[in-house]
Amino acid sequence: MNLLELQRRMAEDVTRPLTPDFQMQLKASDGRSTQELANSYIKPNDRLSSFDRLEIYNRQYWFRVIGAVSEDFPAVGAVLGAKKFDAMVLAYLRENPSTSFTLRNLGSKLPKWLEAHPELSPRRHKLLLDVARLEWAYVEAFDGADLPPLTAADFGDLGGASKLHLQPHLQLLDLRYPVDELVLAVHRQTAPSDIMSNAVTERKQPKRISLPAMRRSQIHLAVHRYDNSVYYRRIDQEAFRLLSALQGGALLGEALEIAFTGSALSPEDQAAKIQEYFAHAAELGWFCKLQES
Amino acid sequence: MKNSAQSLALAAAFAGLLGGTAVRMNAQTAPANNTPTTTAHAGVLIAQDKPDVPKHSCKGKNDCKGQGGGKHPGKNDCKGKGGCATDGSKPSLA
Repeated sequence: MNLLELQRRMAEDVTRPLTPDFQMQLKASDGRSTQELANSYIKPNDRLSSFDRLEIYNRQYWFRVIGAVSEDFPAVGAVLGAKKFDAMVLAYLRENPSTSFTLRNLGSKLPKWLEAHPELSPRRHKLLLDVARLEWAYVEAFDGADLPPLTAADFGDLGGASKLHLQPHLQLLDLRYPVDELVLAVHRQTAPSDIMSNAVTERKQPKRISLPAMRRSQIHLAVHRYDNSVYYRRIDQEAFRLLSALQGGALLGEALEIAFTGSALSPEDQAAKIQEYFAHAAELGWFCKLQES
Repeated sequence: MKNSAQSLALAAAFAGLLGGTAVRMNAQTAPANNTPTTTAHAGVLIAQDKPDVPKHSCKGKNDCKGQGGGKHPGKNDCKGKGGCATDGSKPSLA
């Protein structure tokens, strides 16, 4: 076995899914014995067999990837309960394995994946989707790029055909439930070290978290980073439409029109709202210069 | 939108941009003991930049590296000993 073959062999063995009780499987997908596979390239010692030694890495791999996803979705875990949550993470990872050098993106497909799995929580499926979307938005806001904000000098030739770019860390969400309250409740009741637990089988019995009652009520949120901290800010539907349109590449004039389509507000009242939205956004540095590639 | 309404909307956007930018610039130059008003507009704080444990500090790192079955027999027994601490602390010796 040359080095490349050895690396491929070990990668396949280390990333093979575990048994339901988190042990290494006895057979590979092609039916070969994992005991024999381990014997072929791992030395045993006086306490551990080749199988046992390989199993440490197989289990650690899965504990690490499970932990990486779990720590990004503590509120999804609180809604589902620990047992269902662990099963969900495993099912998700089987379909969306790690393919990157960084584990940061491992949970990125979870909100979309959940859409196709209403069976996980039939009665609270839509609530769960909102929670997952908000928790992933937090990750994006946490480490999304922060570009230099626009200054007064940049507004000199501003017009209806201008394009305004928004900070990459700014996440805009249209949610069916006020899940910001739920996620905040989970954060307040969960120590950072509990959120960041990284081994599913070694996780302490999770503290029972008291969740606020959720009634369907549409909200719009801007999740963003300001002064190196992440904030949720509720915004009006019109502000959401305006910022979403700009984020989608609409010209300023188009975005203003989209924001107030069907609005009963007078042009004067619309103007007052527009001024307020732009003042807040500019104050928070949301309008930025495009990064030069 | 009619032309007059469009002009009004654009003027409002322009006024908002200038006003908000001025507030931001003033907040940046305010003395350190003054709490910038901008923070109040940011919304509800979710996470600060310096939580007790650095987020994802261990992601992608192998906390069992170099601690194979030989020296520390048992499964996962090297976990949680700070092998991947990013705060400069040393892992405890088993």
